[in-house]
This record gives sequence, C-alpha cells and structure tokens, in this order.
Amino acid sequence: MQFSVFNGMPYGRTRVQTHQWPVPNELCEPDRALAAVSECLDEVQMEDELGYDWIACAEHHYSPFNMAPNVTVLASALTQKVKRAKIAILGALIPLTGNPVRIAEEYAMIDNLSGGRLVAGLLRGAPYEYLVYNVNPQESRSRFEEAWDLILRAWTDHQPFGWIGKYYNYRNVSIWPRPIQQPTPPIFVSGSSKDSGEFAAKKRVGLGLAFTNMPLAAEAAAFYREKATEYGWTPAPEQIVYQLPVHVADTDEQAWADVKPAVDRGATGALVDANRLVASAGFFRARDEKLTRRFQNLSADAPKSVAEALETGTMLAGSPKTVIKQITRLRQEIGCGVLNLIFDRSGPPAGKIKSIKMFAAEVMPEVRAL
Amino acid sequence: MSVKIADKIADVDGMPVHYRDAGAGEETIVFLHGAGGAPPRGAAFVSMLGEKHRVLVPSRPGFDDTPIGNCKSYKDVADVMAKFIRRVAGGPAHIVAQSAGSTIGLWLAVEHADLVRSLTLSAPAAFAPRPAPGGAHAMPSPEELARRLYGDTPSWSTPPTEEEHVRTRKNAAAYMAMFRNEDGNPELLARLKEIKAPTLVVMASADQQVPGEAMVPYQRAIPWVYRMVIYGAAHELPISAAPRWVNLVADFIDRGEAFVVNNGNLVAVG
Repeated sequence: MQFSVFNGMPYGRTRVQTHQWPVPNELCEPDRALAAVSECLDEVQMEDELGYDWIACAEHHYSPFNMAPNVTVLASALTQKVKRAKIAILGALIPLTGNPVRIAEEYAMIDNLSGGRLVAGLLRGAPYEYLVYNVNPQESRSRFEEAWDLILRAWTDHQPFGWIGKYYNYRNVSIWPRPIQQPTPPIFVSGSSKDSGEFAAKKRVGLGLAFTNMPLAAEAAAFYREKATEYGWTPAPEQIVYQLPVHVADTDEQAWADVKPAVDRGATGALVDANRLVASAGFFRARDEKLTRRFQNLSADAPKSVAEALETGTMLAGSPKTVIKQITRLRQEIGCGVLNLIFDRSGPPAGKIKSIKMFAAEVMPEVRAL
Repeated sequence: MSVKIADKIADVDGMPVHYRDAGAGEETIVFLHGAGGAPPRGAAFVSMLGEKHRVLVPSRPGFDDTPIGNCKSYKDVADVMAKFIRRVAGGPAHIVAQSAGSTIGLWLAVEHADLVRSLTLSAPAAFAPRPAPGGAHAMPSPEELARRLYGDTPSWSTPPTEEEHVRTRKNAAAYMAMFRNEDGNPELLARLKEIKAPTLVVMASADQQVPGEAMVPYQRAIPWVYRMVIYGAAHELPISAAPRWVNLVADFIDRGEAFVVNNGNLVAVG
C-alpha cells in the first residue's frame, strides 16, 4: 500500500466564514495567503521526510480550500522541496485549459525538474469547475478525449507535427524538454463515471477515485477491472487511487470529536448548487445517470454523522489502531493500492501536523504490506 | 458553387489514360488515388478542391479502365503519369497522393522534379508494412472495410454504388498482385533526400490501414517537409475528413511554407 498526501496550498479559515462559491477574494488577505504558501512548502518537505510516497496537488479555482488554479506552478515549487517522493498532479483539468500542448510541456518540465518523479493526472474535474472558464460541460468528454490524444502524441511522437482537431489546432508541435520517464510518466484519470472507467481501462492507465464513497468507489473500481480484462490486461492495485480526508489522534474518542464539526457542516452552500447546475446541464452522459442524480443533490448524499462517514468510507478517523482497520477495509472493498490523504478538511488545524506525523509513524508501517 | 466534373481520356504515347477533370483555377492539382482506384464518384472532396483549382484525377495504369500497358514497376507508372501531366496539365502541378498513390507521387518528385510544384502525401503507404506474399489474410466484411477506410462520418455527395464497391475491391486485389514484389521500396527510400518540392504529410489519427511508424521515413529524409495529424479521421482522409483535409491541402497549395502561419482563417487554439 502506498500513501499520498494531498496538499493544495489551502488558505485556511477565512476571517468571515462563507458558503459562497466563487468565494469573494476580498476575503483573501495577502499576509495570510503568504503564510499559507510557507506552511504548504514546509509541510510537503516534512511529509517527504516522513516517508509518504506521493505528494499530490490538484487544480481548483475560486476558493480558499485550494489555491492552485495553475497546478503546474505549485508542482514546480514542490519539486524544489520534495526530494524523494513522487510529485502527483491529480491533476490539471484538461478540458478547461484550452491549450493541451501547454499541459504536455508543463508536465514534461515537472518531470524534468523532479528528476523523473511526476505522476501525471489528466482529469476532467468535478462538475462545478465548468463554471470557471466558460467551457460547455457537454463538451467536457469530447474535449478531454481529443486533448488526451494530443498530449500523448506530444510526449511520444518525436518528430514535429501539426494537429487539426475538432477543438484544437496547431501547425507545429515539438515539445522541449520531453518527459524523463519514457515513454510517459505514469498516468491517472478520474474514474467515478463509467465513461471514465472504461476510458482508463482502454488506455491502460491508472484510476483515481475522489469525491465519492466506499460503495461507489468499489463499484467503479470493479467496473474498471472488468473493462480492463475485456481490453486484455489486469491493473495493479497501485493503479487505483482512492482519495479521502483523514484524521489521526491518540484515541478514537478524541479523533471523532475533532472531526465532528466538519461532518456536521456537511455539504452545503453554493458549491453544492454549482455542482447541481452543471450536472443538470449534461456533464455526465446517459450511462452515468446515477452520478448526475448524485451531483444534483450532494447534500443528501453527505454523511450525517461521524459514524456514517466512517461506515461509508468517506473519511478515516480514529486512533492509529482504528485507522489501520479502516484502511484494511478500504483495501479489501475497493482494491486500491494508493490512498490520497487529505489532512486539511477534517480535524482542527492545530491537530493537523500531529495527525500527519502519527499516521506516518504508527499507521503506515502497519499497512505497507497490504 | 457547382463544380463540373468531366470524364475524359488522354492519349499518352498511345496509352488511353482515363481521368476526371474538375473545376478551374490558376493552379492544377493532380490527385493520385490509392489502391482502390479512382475515388467513388460521389466523393465530395473533388468538387470542394475544384472550387478554386483545377483538379485532375487520373486512373493510373492497371486501375479502372486504364490499361497496364508496359508498366512493370512503380517508376514506370510514374513515367506515364509525368507524360500525362505534361500533356493534360500542360506543365508543373501540385501532386496530392493518397495512400498507395504516395509511392507514385514520390517517384514523380524524385524523377520528374520539374513537374512537381508541391507534394502532399495523404495517409501515405509507401513504406507501410504489407502482408507477406502468399500469407493468409482475413478480409474484413465490406461494411467493416468501408468503416475502416472512411470512418463514421464520410463526406459523400452521393454514397458509392455497389458497382463502385466491387470495382474498388477488384482494383485493390489487382494492385496487390501487380506490385507485391516491391514491398518496402528500398530504392525510393534511399532517394527521398533528393526531393526538392515542399512536402506535406497528412496522417489520420484513427488510421487502421497504415501505422504511425510508417510516417517516420518522410520526415527523416525529405529536406522540406511538414506533417499534420487530422484527429479522428480514418485512412481515406479526403472522404473521412473532407472539410478539414480540403482546407489544409488548399492552404498548403495556396500559401506554401507560409501555411504554418495563422492568417486569421485557422481556428484558434481552444
């Protein structure tokens, strides 16, 4: 089992609590933002030294929970702090960028800057991201698939070429540098939908499962493995990544008390509404009607108690001993070989560093061999 | 604009070369067909190209109604095509060669450089691996073959008739029988570096007939060459992706090396 720490350079609490999205940037105080940068870079260095396998980041927009609208800029900074772990970009949101060749170039640069440690997530993003750059959500899948072919060709076709596509046109492409890892860095796509799961299986790449729960993730992973068999291969456990919040404390009672406020807040506010709007506009296609319904009402699907959050595998929380059991269950149910852990969104800020250290010292060694 | 397409026969040193003559313009395009012979009559790209240029579509020796004559090799066929161009086009032309026609286009550019203003190789098969002589090859069904060649959204003014399908298969079989011994084209490969004409290689991202690796020799050897990928297109690019293919080829013919510059008519990135 491998362990990734997600670090999206979170701003932390704003001076006025808000459920708005986009979050007005009058709440972004430069001193606090600067401190968030320092905290992020110090933390990833510590996480690297503690033995985490991946340091992950992702593109998100217009809110304090993740200040990496251009995730390769953040990843570039991470390469200078993280000396051992892989740098996992999970990922850039490919259909939003408008320029897939730029993504190919930037990812190749990160692979070079990190000495060949890039994990390349090529994602579509959650529905609400489609309110950011004015991309038609119904075009998300077709834009993604064209951009995918273009990025892969930019990495692997070593003679200059031009491209005439439906969405993207170039007369010349020949990126420098090309990736260190040949023929490409390990690639992951998000795979909660059937379209994505089949795409990952067809292209023989890894699957990332986020913003979901254990039963849905288990279903998606089983579908991916089934499709992979149809395409003539078997994914390794390390090719399935499951992302979820985690909080470790000395006792179960302490950990559960720590995470209760976050669970009680649930999924509310304008972000939920934004997801509903975009999901209703056809972000998922017909075969993923279940996902459309889910994103149309995320509040209803959110756990109502800590016990429910733990039961549905949407969160890891407890003493090290309890968290080990929870991870063992995730491994059995989903078959995931990598957990992408979010330490920011569950426990209190004061307990975060302790939680990161306890997980590394008391949990990781016990579940490595899973 | 309606483009007239006329069926004609040229006398080339006593050999009757059947051809189609379409459109009008200062520049003449000679389209060299693939292994299936002249494209089906309803292929829209001939009219589309003919809106601004004269387009000649000869049936090469051994295809359709043009006899094989004394042709024993690709080079012999290229010599006949050179005479055809001098006689019918009256001088240098832009050569656009599809699939197996690329071998002839390349020999023209090597042996008759004075006749080739530019060379477009569309899904070129000159250096593609071919089935071994005498090997057992599973022939796809006619429907599957059409899908492989033309993709899911072909551009037809009128779809091909059954007679045309039969003719295409007959041409392809006859082509394989005639030129099987020249697989690999080593002599041509060695002479690519002599090509002086600006050359455009166009490949289809969903080509199931010619693998991408078969495109490598052109860029390695031809001095002045560009390669463009048409996303989602199948092997018969002029039919599978007619609007994009025609725009590209016409732009290359009209603007030469400046076709790489966005002149306002290219779709912007994103």
